Amino acid sequence: MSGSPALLLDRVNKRYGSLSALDGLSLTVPQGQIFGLLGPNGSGKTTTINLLCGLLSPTEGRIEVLGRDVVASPRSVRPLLGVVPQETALYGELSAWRNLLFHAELYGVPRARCAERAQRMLELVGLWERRHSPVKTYSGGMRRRLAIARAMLHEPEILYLDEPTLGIDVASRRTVWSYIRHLRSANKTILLTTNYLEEASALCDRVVIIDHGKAVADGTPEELGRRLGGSVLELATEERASPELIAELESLAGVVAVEARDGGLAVTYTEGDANAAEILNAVMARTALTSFAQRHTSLDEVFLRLTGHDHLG
Amino acid sequence: MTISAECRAALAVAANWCRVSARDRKFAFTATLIPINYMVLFLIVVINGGRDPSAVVVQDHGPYARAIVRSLAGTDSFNLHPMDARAALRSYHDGRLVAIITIPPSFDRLLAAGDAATLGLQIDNQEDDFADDIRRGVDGAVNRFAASVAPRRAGVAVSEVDDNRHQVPYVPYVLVSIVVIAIMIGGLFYGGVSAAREYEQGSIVDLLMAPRSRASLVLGMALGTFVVATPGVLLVLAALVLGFGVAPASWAEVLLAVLISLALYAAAGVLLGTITRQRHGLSTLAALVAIPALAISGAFYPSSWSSPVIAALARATPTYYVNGLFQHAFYAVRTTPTSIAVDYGVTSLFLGAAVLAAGVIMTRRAQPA
Repeated sequence: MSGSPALLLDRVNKRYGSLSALDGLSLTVPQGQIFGLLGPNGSGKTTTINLLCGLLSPTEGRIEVLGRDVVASPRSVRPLLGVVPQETALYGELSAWRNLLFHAELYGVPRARCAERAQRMLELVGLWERRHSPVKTYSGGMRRRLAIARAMLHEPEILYLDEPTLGIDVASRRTVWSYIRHLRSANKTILLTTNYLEEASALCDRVVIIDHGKAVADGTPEELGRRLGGSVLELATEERASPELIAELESLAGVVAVEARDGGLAVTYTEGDANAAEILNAVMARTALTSFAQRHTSLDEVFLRLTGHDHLG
Repeated sequence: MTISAECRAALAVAANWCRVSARDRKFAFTATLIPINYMVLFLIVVINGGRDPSAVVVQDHGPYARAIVRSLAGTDSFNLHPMDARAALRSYHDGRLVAIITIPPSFDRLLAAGDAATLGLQIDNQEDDFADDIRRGVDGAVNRFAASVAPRRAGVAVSEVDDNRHQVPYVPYVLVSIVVIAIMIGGLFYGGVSAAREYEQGSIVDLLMAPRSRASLVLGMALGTFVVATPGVLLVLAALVLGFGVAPASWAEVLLAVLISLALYAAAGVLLGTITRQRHGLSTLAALVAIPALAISGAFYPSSWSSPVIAALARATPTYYVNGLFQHAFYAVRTTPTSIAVDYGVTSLFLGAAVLAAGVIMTRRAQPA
């Protein structure tokens, strides 16, 4: 188990009649990483999570969690997993304390250790003082933290976080991020899906982008930016870029995309094939340049280019 | 212009409502089932229940015998089936007949001689109301025959044999059904809510991700339902005993019947909630399931006295056996041809099947509706 990847999907297909939700998806997630699963609505993210949890069976392919076959022995796999679903799925009428004790009973945490573990987790997520308040009185951020505490209560090796900061404020988002980083420092493996590419960039060691049930790209956020996007030169000009200028820029070797904006241009290019000086010269020959800035492509731009969707969901 | 705009809006609302309803399969199913339910209830209680299944064993084929059979057949009180003596007795002991009327071999000869002839009447008198229907029906038929066909001076008497020492009056018999319906509705509704709520708030994922069997989860929900529904059932029982003076023949049997039937309907409720995955409409659905099941179960009279189709349908539902358990617990009468032990066994099998089915469906439905 120690040498096995935390998660393994090997050529997994999941079909519903003629509809293919996953189409030969393969993934390997090493232990101790934060792994981001990104994709638009209907891309197969939730199906992937449900397959890894054993809540669905694949039509074809092999799925392993820490070397154990999810399909053959789902009950032996489940104690290894903690899940924070998108809906925090807590019992609003009950207190945080009762929610955690119920989870502990369900997962067979030894009776003598239930209270101690619940206290430790509530202290970790900063909810100890509010432990007796009904959860329905909690803010979105507090619920999310409690859901993470619940998922960690039985000390799983792997945590699935489905949109962990969806719908919560910026301050709570930062707090949740710090818990997630804390979990990685405890050598837990985390698989997260997120709506926020900024979040994936900030948290994930590796990211896979899936679309139509297939992996279309994977790597570190920086690698993806370099490999699939390269650099972006943002240019502010006095006049709107003419069609001739755009055509000339597009004809330069290594230029991937040219986007005309009010008051300027954004030119995406792969370094090595093209260089910034060449692009700047072409622009200055046709219009007055007021300022420019260079940066790496964002995951957002990579995602847009790969899937044709302008946002995640 | 204003009126036309208002009309347009009204039509748009109506069309939109129809479109939404047509695409909401649960709503369409419920809306269709409601009138069918009440039709079933009326057919069973009013039409079927008004005519008691009875056999006529004709051992004389003379003109007077044929005339009395015609007179009996013209009575609304029973549904008369000509049979030989052996077949009639077999059906009677199987619980499919309320009474056997026998025209003896000497019927015509005695009447022609101006003597009194005697009709045999054997009644399953466990339910007072039905026994009285039979008595009134036979008396009416004999009077009509005596007035119009029988020779002057001759008379027709009826020799009645009642097979049960204790007759249960109609109202107390039906009152027991109130306990059954309370248990059914309570179990189905609360059980349904217990499962549907987990789906609605998404906590079903946490339950299904636990390293536990689905049967444990279903049994847990059913047990919780049992506890929540018990006060309501106890209140109905108390009202029955204290308010209506219905004294159970065996309190132990009543408690056992409550225990097993509430567990059964709680599990069936969990199954219902697992199918719908929504609390919305569960009470309607629970009533829709409960009303026809109760109507055919023998709540108003033993199901075996219904038409063969309804009797067969009744035997395929758990409520038939549950009703039998309660009638036996309260009045020591049998409404099923099977033994009480078999009825408990079949009820337990239905309980097991409900748990199993809910577990299987839960495994396949991990996500909210």
